[in-house]
Amino acid sequence: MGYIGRFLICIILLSGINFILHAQDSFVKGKIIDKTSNVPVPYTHIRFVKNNKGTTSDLNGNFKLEFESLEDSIIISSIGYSKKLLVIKDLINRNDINIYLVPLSTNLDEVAVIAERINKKQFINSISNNQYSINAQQIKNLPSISGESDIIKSLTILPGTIKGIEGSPDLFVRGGDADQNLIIFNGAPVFITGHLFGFLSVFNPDILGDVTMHTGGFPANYGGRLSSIIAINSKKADTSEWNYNLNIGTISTSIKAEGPVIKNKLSFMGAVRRTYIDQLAKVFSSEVPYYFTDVNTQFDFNINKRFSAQYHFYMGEDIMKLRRNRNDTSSTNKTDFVLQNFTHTLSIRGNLNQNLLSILNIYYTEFKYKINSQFEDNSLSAVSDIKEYGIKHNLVYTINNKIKTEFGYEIINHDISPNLLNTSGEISDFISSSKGKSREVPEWSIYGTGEYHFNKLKIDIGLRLSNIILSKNIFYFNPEPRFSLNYQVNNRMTLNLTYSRMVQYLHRVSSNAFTLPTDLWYPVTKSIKPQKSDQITFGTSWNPGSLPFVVKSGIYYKYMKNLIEFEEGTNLTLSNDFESKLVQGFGNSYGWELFIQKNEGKWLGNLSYTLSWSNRNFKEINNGKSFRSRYDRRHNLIFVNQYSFNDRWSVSVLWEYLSGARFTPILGYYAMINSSSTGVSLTPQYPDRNSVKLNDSHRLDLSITYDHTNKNKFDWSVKLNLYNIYNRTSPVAIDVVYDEENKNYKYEQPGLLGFLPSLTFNAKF
Amino acid sequence: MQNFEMRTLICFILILVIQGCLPEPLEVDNIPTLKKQPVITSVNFNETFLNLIITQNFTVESRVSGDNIHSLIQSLLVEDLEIMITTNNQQFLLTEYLEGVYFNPEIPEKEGNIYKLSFLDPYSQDSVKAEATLMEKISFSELETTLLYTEFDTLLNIEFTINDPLGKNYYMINTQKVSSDYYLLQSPYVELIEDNSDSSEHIISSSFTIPFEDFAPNDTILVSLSNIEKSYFDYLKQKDSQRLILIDELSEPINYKSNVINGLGFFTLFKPDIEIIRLE
Repeated sequence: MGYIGRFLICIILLSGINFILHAQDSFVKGKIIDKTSNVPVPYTHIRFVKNNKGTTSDLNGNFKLEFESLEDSIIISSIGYSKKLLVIKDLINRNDINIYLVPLSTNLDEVAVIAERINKKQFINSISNNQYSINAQQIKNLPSISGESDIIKSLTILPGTIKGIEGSPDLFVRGGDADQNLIIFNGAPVFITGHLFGFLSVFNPDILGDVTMHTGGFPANYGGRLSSIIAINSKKADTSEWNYNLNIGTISTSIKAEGPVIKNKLSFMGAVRRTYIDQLAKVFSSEVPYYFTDVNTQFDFNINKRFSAQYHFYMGEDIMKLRRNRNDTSSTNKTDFVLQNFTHTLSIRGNLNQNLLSILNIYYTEFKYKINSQFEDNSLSAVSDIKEYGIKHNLVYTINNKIKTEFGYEIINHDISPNLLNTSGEISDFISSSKGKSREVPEWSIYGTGEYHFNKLKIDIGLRLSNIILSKNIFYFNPEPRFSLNYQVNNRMTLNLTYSRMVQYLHRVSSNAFTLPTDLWYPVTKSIKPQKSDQITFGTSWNPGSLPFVVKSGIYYKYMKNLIEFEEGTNLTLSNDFESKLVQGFGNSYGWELFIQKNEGKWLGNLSYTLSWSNRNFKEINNGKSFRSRYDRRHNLIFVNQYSFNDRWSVSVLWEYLSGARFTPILGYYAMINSSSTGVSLTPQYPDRNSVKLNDSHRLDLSITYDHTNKNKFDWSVKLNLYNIYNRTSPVAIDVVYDEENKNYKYEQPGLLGFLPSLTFNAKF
Repeated sequence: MQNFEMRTLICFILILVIQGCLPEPLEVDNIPTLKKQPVITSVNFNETFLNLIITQNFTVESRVSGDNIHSLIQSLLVEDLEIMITTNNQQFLLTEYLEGVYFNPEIPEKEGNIYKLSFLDPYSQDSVKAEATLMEKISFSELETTLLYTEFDTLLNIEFTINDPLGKNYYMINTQKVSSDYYLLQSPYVELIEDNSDSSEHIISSSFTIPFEDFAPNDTILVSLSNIEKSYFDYLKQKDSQRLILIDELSEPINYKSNVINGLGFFTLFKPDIEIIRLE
């Protein structure tokens, strides 16, 4: 396809921080090291909170600083890394303290109240009012549906993030829609994030590093979706020695290998994952017509001490082959269904000089599905394809320890071919052949942001200018201002106020009731305007100090316009006429979020609560009256606990309480004589859109992990996972069924997933 | 044999596991009350052109299986209504009521006339209103049927020509089988046609094939052509768009178009041109 040829690059670096703080008399000494590469980080800023005085680390990451008060704290910041706040009193009690700075996937600074003494097993390792960072390796011990960790579903643990139908990968962030989340993997957008119709994430947990989610106060270097930015990064391949990982789960098995190709210079990581139930079934002469597979390969190259590069390739496939009779080898009765995801990403990062960090990302991403169905003399083939080529260059310039700027550009080419249909036979009277409406639309944006520190105040002001070009004279140009104000009340508490405008040029065309992997992505047109949102947030983060807790609380209000829905009754089944059926309206959402984390000791906990409202208004829907959004769930409470009995045994418990989603069930029927007056047809009648609430649901999950680590370099662990222990129904819809006992029709709310036990075995060698 | 037993055992265990994993559906107790409303539907008879059946809507719990639908309709009929038809400044009560059908043979039948309907909703006492225009009768200029033999089916193809009068026009062609005792079988296949008002040609020639229905030589079919109003055409289009919906309960909610104020259904008047053909 020639796209690999587009990946030509040049420059940049990275490094890291290792940090050895040393208390001696009234001096603190230290060395800063990159957590992922163990490389010293030069030019790191270290300053006291009280008087803002400070110093910078030398080329080897070393520094020395005289302090005045044990109660004071130091803030350590370096471009491209998460900021750290360290209490001097805590530090001087240690002779040799290693503090690692974590490279920021977003390369943007954050204001996070984070304790250095945080337990490394805590999976959420950075919390602020609008941003969370998750350690993807630590979520492996949490309960999940199939026992295999799922990074996308684990995000529903965070406040403001509401899940859709149980088991689906859809997220609804702060009252937004499912397509308003930009999920980027090593910098490349991923359009479909679920295997097995969404029940399992496409991201192989074995290769993942950190995940950062922004739900508001968006940095100017991100755009393209209204509700959230989810940046998922693979971990860096091991540069020192080869190691292997085998993971055998209930649904799939994965194998990973990583190690140095050229020691400390070039390293490789490769992982393959596949379901095996189809192969297992063959042993018993049965057939399961489905499997998925995915492959990840990665090269990490340390160009020199200042520059590094990473190339990552991902390919995932879901394949279903249905035959009317499995012994039927003829081609007349079959349906083949193939979903494919590809990403190629190349990232080069490095310090151009002491004050300037450059990160260059080049990517190609593609999602397509193919359906090929034949029944007697009818045939249907459907192909849908979305490709994106993109380049993003981000530069971070630190003027001094008070002023930092970040700026860059992003260019994306959207190449979309929705529903190329070819039908023959009688079915062509229902679904006609169509070449679809293939479109290629370029989008570009430039952005800049300035960060200023004034004593306890930090101000970020940013602006993103985005533009999508539909034709020579038709384009949409949108300024997207961003603003963030942080006030550090004391060493333990920060207040945060943000405003951000987001613009979305690409939409997912899906039905109101359920989303499917075959839902189409479609860009704006002359008649379909870009979606826009304005969001204001106010919050506080508090670390009591004497107690091992971090508390975050915040409120938000979001106004969204040009939201997209379909005309009532639109049938989306392989339709190419969806553009004429789209309608646009507005919506708003608001709520309160609370997050409490216990991050020390044997017991670790995360409590997340969201109280929220989400409304919609479309002139053409519900007779123009406002209605609640499908996933307007009033209360969302999740309590996650992890307890380590010792180095080997640990247990994780998750309890969730969720208000019911909204639904529009059939309310009744009326009979109409058909058009030739020869019979009767029943016409369903519906109430106001989303006017009925499904039942609230709650669920308890448990996982028990035995971790056997020994000195023979063969470590293994076993995880017993119990999902939905008390088999509680999480309703997905309101159905009408015939009650055999009472001989009449009745409503019921079916659920999808009940009690699911599973076992996972993991070995590292 | 051993394989078979093993397969059976595995299937049995799998079914048990899957059944065990499926949570019990929850009951529903918060469905809004359905507002009772009159439903208007027009019926075409040879004897009289304006015939109405008035029923009421009903709840999901009252739904019956397909075999019992006619007894359900009987129970839903709304009787003793005073239905007034106004046309050309003349008013007529639908005084006749026979097997659920309201009509009055005195009402003048004139193409192009507007007929206004009104009566009092017995449930809410609101005034129910609707109006329809009796459309000009248009006949087939040519009509030809052909059986198409495929590897698996014998399909019916219909070729037709219509003399399309001036102005924007909408047509409906209904096709259905007729039994040996001239009883119309099932619902018709409906083909909807919209003319091209920009065209200087006033002839529509086209054809269509009825999918997923087997025909055979010597079958008798009824083909009717009706000139209909745009509002009724839009309603039929809307119905047609739902052909591929398999489960109403899980589909996109839809409020069907209606030209009835304070009621449901559709009041429409048209005069079909009917052809009965024996297939060869």
